[in-house]
Amino acid sequence: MFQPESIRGDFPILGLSVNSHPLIYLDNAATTQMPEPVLATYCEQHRLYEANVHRGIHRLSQLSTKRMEEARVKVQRFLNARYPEEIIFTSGTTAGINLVAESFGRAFLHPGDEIIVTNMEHHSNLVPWQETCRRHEAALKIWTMEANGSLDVNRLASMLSSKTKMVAVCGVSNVIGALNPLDDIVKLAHAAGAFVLVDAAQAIRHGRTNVQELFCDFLVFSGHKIMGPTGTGVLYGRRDILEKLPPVVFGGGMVDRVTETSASFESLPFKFEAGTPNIAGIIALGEALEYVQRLGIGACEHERNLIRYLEQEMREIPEVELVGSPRFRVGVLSFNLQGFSAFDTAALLDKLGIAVRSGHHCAQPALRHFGLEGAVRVSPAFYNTQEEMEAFLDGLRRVIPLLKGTKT
Amino acid sequence: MTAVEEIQRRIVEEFLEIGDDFDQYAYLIEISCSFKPMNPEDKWENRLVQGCQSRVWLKTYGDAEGRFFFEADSDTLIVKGVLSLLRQMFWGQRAEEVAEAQVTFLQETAIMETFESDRQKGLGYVIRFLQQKARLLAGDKVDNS
Repeated sequence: MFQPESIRGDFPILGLSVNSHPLIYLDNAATTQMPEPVLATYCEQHRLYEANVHRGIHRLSQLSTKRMEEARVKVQRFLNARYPEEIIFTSGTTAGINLVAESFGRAFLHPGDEIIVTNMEHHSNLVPWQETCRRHEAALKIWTMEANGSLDVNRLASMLSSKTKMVAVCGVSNVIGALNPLDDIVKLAHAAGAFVLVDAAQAIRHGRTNVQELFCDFLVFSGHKIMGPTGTGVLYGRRDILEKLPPVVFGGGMVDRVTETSASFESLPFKFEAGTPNIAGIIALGEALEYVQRLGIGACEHERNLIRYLEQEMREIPEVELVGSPRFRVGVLSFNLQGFSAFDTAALLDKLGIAVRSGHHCAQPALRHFGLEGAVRVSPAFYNTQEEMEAFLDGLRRVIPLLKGTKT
Repeated sequence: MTAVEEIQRRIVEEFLEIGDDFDQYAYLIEISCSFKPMNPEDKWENRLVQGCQSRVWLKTYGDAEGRFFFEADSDTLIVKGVLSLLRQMFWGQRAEEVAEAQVTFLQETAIMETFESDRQKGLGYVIRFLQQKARLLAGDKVDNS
């Protein structure tokens, strides 16, 4: 059985005090902390190997290139992608989706075509598609979640048609933690001739991802949500599809032959990686994925137990209003205290050393679905303990009477 | 030291005396109740301060002696607490003094630290809005004299 205490020492930041209280970091859906091996790898790259990649013939450049390409293979293995060139390094989920939306639009979209997204998406998996549809005179169709926050695939089935070119959906909602039925979504979309992009920003840390088994066409995630550095991310795309997509960012590193008036482009994956990449970050991301793999599925189960415990306990607190009640919830739990702003709740918790997020979580349509403008979101990771969940609940019980006192 | 600055100095002292960060915010929540609820008809859209992450309504007015007053409300108790401190500073003070005051208590205490940058900007906007209104009131007084 996974014991968080056995790995907490890998995360020095968890030993901090905040506002004179031990830090209880429960904002992992926004950014996870990096363990020592990842930090060490990141620093080591700068200390011992700093050089640009794919350019110099000198030793350091060769070593940097080798280390970065090894990281690509680590990501390939982590996702069980068929080929390393199916892994494109980006600066994060947002960049990955924008790349696909722009390139896919140019290659495949025509006036009258349709793209389907859900109303639970992070703005990063909504706004790029709005823009692409606008540019190509395509229609953006919104697949609305059910009242409880689950997605009903029958609803999708009724929306799909020969006009549908893409279904873009998150694996796990960043607001309510709904675990979406990706297998069914991919099968239905493919049967209609549409491509599928999975926004795995949240899902990536909560279970095994196997892109060959899932058979999605694109999958994106950010390094900083899976113990890697900020400014790193991955776009997985099926090789046969990526080969048909044009590059959308141009410059060094992605060209083959250049004249004054034209250029030919590199093959995969480099045609999508213009400019100097975040070399140290990418290499550290490779280490982060291996770290998570070493922990195994027990770490994910521990996280799920924490969320289950929190949900169960919070249902017993009359002032707590949980947002959504999807059939399967992982990673995050959002709530409000009856009649009080999310900001007040989160600010008071912060003063007790408890880091949670408040606001619209970059998913305004999702919150509006529940009639809300904002919510407090608590998102534990595998390094959080049962005791920390209890401290969080105690903090909540301390905040509630304070806020309620203003109404008497 | 002007009357406004003197009140500000007392506010900072009181806060620093409280010490514990949680208790400081508990105090802000407590004083947020000191506002009597704003009349719903005064909470129309134009009175909403644009650019503030929290919804803030402000209604300013002056008296014949050129003294400045304002009523306020917010959907966030902590912001309402800050508005309450601003009211302590500005309520019934000469409009010129309000307009010229250096508002520093948010930085001198830990209050500003909890606000994300958008909300910090929003609070800055609230203060500028109040001081602009005070300036207008002071100008009106000069014009009328």
